[in-house]
Amino acid sequence: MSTSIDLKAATRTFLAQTEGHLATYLEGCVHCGACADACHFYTASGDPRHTPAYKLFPIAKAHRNHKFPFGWFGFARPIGERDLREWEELLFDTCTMCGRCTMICPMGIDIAAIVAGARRAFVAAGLGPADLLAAADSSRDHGSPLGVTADKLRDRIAWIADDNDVTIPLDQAKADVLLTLSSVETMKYPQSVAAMAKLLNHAGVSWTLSTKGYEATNFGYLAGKGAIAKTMVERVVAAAESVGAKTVVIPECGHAYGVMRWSAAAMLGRPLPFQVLHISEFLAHLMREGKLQLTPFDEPITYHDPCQVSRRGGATADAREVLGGFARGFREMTPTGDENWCCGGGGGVQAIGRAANLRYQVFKLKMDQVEKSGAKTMVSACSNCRLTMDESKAHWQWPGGIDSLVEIVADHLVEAPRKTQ
Amino acid sequence: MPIMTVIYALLLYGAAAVFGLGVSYRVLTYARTPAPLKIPTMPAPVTRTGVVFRVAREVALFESLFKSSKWTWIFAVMFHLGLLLEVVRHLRYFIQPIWFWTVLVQPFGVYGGVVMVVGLLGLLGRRVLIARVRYISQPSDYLMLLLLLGIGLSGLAIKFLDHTDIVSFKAFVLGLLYFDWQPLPDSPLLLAHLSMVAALLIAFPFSKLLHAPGVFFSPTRNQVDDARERRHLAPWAAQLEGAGDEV
Ligand code: HEM
Ligand code: SF4
Ligand code: SF4
Repeated sequence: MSTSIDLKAATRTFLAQTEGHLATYLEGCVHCGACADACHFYTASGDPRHTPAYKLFPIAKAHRNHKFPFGWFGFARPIGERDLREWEELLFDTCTMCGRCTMICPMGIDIAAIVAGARRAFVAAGLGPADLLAAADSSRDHGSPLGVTADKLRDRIAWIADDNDVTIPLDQAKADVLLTLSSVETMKYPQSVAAMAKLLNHAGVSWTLSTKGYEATNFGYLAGKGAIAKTMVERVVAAAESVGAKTVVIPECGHAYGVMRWSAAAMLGRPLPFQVLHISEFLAHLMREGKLQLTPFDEPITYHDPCQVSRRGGATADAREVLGGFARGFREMTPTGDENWCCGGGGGVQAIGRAANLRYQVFKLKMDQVEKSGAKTMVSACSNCRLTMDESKAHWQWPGGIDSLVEIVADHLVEAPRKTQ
Repeated sequence: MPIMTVIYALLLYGAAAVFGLGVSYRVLTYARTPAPLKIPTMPAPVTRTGVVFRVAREVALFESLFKSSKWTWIFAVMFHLGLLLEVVRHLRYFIQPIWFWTVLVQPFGVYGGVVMVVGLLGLLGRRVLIARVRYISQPSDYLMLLLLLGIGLSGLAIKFLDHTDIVSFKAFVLGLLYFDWQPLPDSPLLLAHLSMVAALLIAFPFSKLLHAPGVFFSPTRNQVDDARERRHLAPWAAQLEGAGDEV
């Protein structure tokens, strides 16, 4: 990464986006500051620079300068290197694109979408955290941000299947359902992969994994690299088409679901030839069809809503429906559902090393929520949330439990042996 | 014809033209640029009727603001409602004979002015006193509040301190409308009031006042949750996603 900043490229990329609907947002922000309290970064740090509206300043400035050249009262200066340097950290490290600010903004300004757009301009200028950008490049070159190539996937799946005594179909010629994986699961939480396989097998689903398109995460999207974002989507679509899948199931990964649900068709330039369901939605479907036989579970647990699944995805009820089927000790934290606090690591922030301390601070909100709910364990349906929270938990040596939805459900399948805690 | 009348007539024509053309241009742009993605804020309505109600609640009740900040909400409602009452009240200068319902509004109109000024002072106080709001405040944010305060205070002063000759002022306004200029009453307060109104009209299409039309075009609020059912078509967006920023 060069140290010189390509100001022109940044300006061009900003303006390419403000030609579109972002103009409505940028011109509509009344600087009322109501959004600050909605943002976990501001709430955890108290730093006024973490106010969501403040994160929009560089792109708004570029827009004002371009649109209103006379600038009323001379306030419309062009963006400079200093702007970019100051805001680089704010745009990458202090926005998880959780969408919480949009819920309370009187103008409904989609800060997360603008941050995603602004990130592209920073990348075009030669800025952006090296580790996040490397994760995107690795996705393009090796198939996954953590370097899970197709060969590695085969090995890994064979090992997981063997170790957990479960059948994991890979590269079946035909299947109704294509399951995708987050490499966080493949590499760090292999039990989750085994759990999903157990559940799908138990319910008698015709499914497969595919070496053509297995990676659900989309670091191209998170890092502001549009071309890579599109490639990642195309791989999954090609895999689904080749096995004739009617449904693509997104694993426990929030942004993967967000990208597939909202943006994939637009990136692809045509309608998706399949239905996209998050694993929690898919399990809820199976439950409704009576295909999951579960034994009751009495431990006090609560559910952490992954932002992209609940607030941004609309699948808020599904995980609760699944848990409601057997978890008798389930209770909500406050706030919950669409208003739940973010884990602090979404939007690629998990992959940014220098943001670790901020993430720890944010996690304090979560520890407090869980403690007040009286739950011993918090279940999440996003492995990125889980990883973020596991790291923060280790930092604070917090005693609370963190688990995954699919693992808890798989552990309580009627024929499965109970996990000894 | 007094020189002041000519100057103010031209100023007001100019301001009205900038306002009308500028706002129409911005609104046309908003209406023509499709949102690239489906991204309503959840839980989103699944029908168009649901969306109409959602936007109506935002505009009439400031629903989201109410959820987030009660104090800002109170001041914001005082200011906007006061402003609305005042605008309706001012219609009497533009129409002859006066409509029945604008007559009904007249007595409340005065309170409208006071309420508006109190609301504005609250908003200004908030901007100055709360550190995080101060941090995101730009010069134009203060100027806008001061301008509106100036309009409100000069208006109240005309009403309570230095009652202007309303009859000849109305003649002046109607004269502008029918291109039959009549002399403008000679009152410094009135001139100040009118100058600031002209400044507001001119600033409108170039400032955050665009939030008024903009709120109707906010994709997170005016979209139906049917991303799975119908593909949202925005060709330029697909292009942008793919190539606009090759790195
Ligand atoms: C559809 C009509 C409108 C709606 C729904 C609307 C809504 C809002 C909301 C929700 C806020 C944020 C709360 C606040 O800070 O006060 C706001 C702020 C503001 N509005 Fe409006 N508004 C409308 C029309 C107008 C008009 C016509 C004007 C002036 C001519 C105006 C002037 C302002 C100003 C100056 C602020 C910023 C206040 C501050 O600095 O704190 N609004 N508006
Ligand atoms: S709440 Fe919305 S309008 Fe208010 S400052 Fe934040 S982004 Fe701007
Ligand atoms: S999207 Fe979330 S993280 Fe980003 S500014 Fe808004 S509240 Fe903060």
